[in-house]
Amino acid sequence: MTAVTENHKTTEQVENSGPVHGAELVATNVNKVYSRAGQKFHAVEDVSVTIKPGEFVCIVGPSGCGKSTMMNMATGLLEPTDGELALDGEPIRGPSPDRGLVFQKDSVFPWMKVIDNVTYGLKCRGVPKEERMSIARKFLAEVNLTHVEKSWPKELSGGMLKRVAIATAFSNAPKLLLMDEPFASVDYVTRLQLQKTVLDLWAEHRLTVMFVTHDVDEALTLADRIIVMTNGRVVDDRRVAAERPRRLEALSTPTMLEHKASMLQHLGLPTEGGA
Amino acid sequence: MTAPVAERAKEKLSSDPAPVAGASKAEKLVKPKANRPKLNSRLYTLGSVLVVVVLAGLWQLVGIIDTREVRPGQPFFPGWQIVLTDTVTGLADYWRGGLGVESVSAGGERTYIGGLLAIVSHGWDTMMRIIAGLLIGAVIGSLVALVVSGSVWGRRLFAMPTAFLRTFPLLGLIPMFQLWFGTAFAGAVTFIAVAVGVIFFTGVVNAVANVDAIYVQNAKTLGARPIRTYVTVVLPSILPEMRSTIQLSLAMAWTAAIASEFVGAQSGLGYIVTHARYFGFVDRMFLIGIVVVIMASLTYYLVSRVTKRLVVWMPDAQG
Amino acid sequence: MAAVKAGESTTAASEKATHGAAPKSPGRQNPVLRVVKASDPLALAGMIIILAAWYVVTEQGWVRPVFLPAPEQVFRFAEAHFLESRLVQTQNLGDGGILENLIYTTTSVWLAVLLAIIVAVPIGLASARVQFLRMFSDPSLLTLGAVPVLILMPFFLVWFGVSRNGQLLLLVLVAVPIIYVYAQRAVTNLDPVYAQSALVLGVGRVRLIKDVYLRGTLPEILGGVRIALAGSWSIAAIAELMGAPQGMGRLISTFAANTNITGIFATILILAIVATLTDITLKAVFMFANRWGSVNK
Ligand SMILES: Nc1ncnc2c1ncn2[C@@H]1O[C@H](COP(=O)(O)OP(=O)(O)OP(=O)(O)O)[C@@H](O)[C@H]1O
Ligand SMILES: [Mg+2]
Repeated sequence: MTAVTENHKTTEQVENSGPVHGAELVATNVNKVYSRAGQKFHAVEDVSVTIKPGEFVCIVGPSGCGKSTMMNMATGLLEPTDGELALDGEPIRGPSPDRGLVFQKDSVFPWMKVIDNVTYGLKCRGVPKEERMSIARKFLAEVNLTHVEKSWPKELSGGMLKRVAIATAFSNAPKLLLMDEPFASVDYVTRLQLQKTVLDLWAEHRLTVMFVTHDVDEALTLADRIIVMTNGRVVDDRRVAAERPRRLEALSTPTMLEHKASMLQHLGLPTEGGA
Repeated sequence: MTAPVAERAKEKLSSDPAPVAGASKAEKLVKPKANRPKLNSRLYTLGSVLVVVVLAGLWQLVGIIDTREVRPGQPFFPGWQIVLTDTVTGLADYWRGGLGVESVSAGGERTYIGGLLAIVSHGWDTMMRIIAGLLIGAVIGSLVALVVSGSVWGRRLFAMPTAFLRTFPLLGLIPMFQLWFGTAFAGAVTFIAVAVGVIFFTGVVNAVANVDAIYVQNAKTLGARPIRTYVTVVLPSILPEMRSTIQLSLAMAWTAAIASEFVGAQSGLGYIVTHARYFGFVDRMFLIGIVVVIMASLTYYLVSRVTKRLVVWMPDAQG
Repeated sequence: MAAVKAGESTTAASEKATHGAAPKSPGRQNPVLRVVKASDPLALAGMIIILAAWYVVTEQGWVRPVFLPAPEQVFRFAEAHFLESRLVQTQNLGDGGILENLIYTTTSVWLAVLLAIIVAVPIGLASARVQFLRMFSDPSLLTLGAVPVLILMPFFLVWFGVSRNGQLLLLVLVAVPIIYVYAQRAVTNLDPVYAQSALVLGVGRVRLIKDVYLRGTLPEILGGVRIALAGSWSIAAIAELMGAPQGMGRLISTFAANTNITGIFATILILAIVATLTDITLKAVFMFANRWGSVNK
């Protein structure tokens, strides 16, 4: 962790360098209609995307555009009104440990100690105690939380809780990791730290990541590919081929600025020669 | 339908978000399903009606199946055909005469009017005891509590006695109260007042202890003297909690009234029940039991209506 | 424990440096110790003041002993009749003394609350999620909680005779609505995100109920149990007073028939002490079960 992985590669390079653990997510004509007080509301409208194994995809969009709805459908917590989602060709029906989710809210069980939280998914799947402890300790070490393994969640700060949630998700070895605005309530420095943690884990474990954020800069720092949503529709889908690791300066290269300007335009912000 | 907890439960329901169409299995497991504000009160009423109908029917059914008798002519489980006819006229035994209807002991007929008058007059006796006991107990209990918790020292000194009072088996002391104050009106009222007073005392002491220190400190930094702080900050902030104390004390008042009428009183609904038991009149006990349930429910309804007003101004009033 | 803490202090420093977020003070402590520490010597003084007032009032003869017996008189009576008492035996209240009746009443109360937990907790938990159940359980149980259930006692005496069954049933009926409401509210207060999170981690139905719904609501349910138990002693006393084979309430009614005021006082105080001790124990259990939550909840 401390030895910053200077040898980060773009997806293409990663794909050539070892077994990819991640799975392929295919959404075909997905729709979600809520009914609110008798009125229908189209939260997700005809979304079709294919996310390749091992890809790091960010979803950007204004509040209420259907990002969380999309994530919940990919997890299996919600069912699409119409259309289908499939993971490696298997239609998604209900939640499964194959698809991990880091919730926007704090989802760490307050009534279990940190270590019990991290091992919980493994316990559910009958992994023997020795093994699950060693897996959990490994991931706790990767998010720098070894020293609080026996603590109650109430004794941790918000950023630390987020890291527990990330360690829990990774311990469960999902093929697709969904992260719903995981860093929204975290301070700037912690956020940069957590971004690095997630990227390191991603590079090491080669899973497919779908990451929701409001923050265009965060998306540009993390993603291989950025999907922009507004009003329940996909309005933009672009690749970001910049070298990794992307430091702060990397965000001000001409290509990045161009990406940013054009995305902001899709998000409805008027730009006067921004690029 | 009129319970204090029911009110609270209903408030909770209607604040839940709108329902989700096409919920998956997982959704059904985790989403609060009790989130249909309009449907809900209707479902609640429907459920109440069904429960009442089923219970009434079950009672009749048990009466048909189990035909044992306490003594000849007095069934263990008298059906509605008895309870709504002979039982009412039989209750005329408890009418003491007046209003142009002669009492049975003075040679009067057993009539429906006599039976109804008996129910009303004994119900009135019970009600008066409850109201008097509630008022006296509430005032004295709250005043003592306010004095005790007016200072930190008082609160600390009385913490243990208050905890002791909370679990004290007061209802077991009825014989003592009857020795002290007699079995007439005064004995019953004093007993109810003490039982209610204990609830008000512990309720107010706890509510004052729960007042967020930040309000008190804020008032102090603004220069308020202790007494003014107490009147302008502490008293208003304990009002919402008082709502459940009031409802709890009403439940206690009813129980204490019935208990004191069971043990030694000469009038009241509880007295009729005990008297009827000695002679094996289960039907009379049953009818009076229903009267008690209806009266108690009505008083809850009224009190919860009135006390709701008390706290509406609070942003997070939860009674 | 010590090792963990030592490790903590060193790594916590680096934690602070990198994240500006230090772990909050770990409130790990033995709950019994916490209760003892939280108890205030002044509170004991309050108890002593009341005892002293009782002593002075009777010593000075301000209140006649027929109305209020002196404390030492009550204590002597309790001592003399606690294990073995002719007074108790001749009244057919067992072949021991007060203790035997105390055990009878205490068993009734505990057993009834236990039965109430078994009935009320599942219904309460499920009713928060299953509308169809709630539509029936709310009207019936909330009404039951609002009416004076004591009115049923004479019926039980007719139907079951003078036996323990009537008292048990009455006590259960008093405790069930209270525990039901607390269990239901506990689930309503439990953020759905925990169940969702468990499902995403691959939890099964049994584990979901056991590890999320039961564990997440346990403190609130215990709070309800404590309240139900506190009220049960009174109901047990009056129920026994009206007719029971044995018990503290029966003892009181016997003493009352013989105007044995000292006996009544001794009986009620012993029962009150047991009730308070039970409450303190349950409070410790509550604090242990709630060690993960906010302490003052
Ligand atoms: N359970 C529900 N019932 C009815 N409407 C809902 C429900 N959940 C979400 N919606 C609506 O669907 C739309 C999309 O919601 P969603 O939570 O997916 O937005 P989001 O893009 O995640 O927003 P944010 O960035 O603020 O989290 C919103 O307009 C919301 O009001
Ligand atoms: Mg969202």
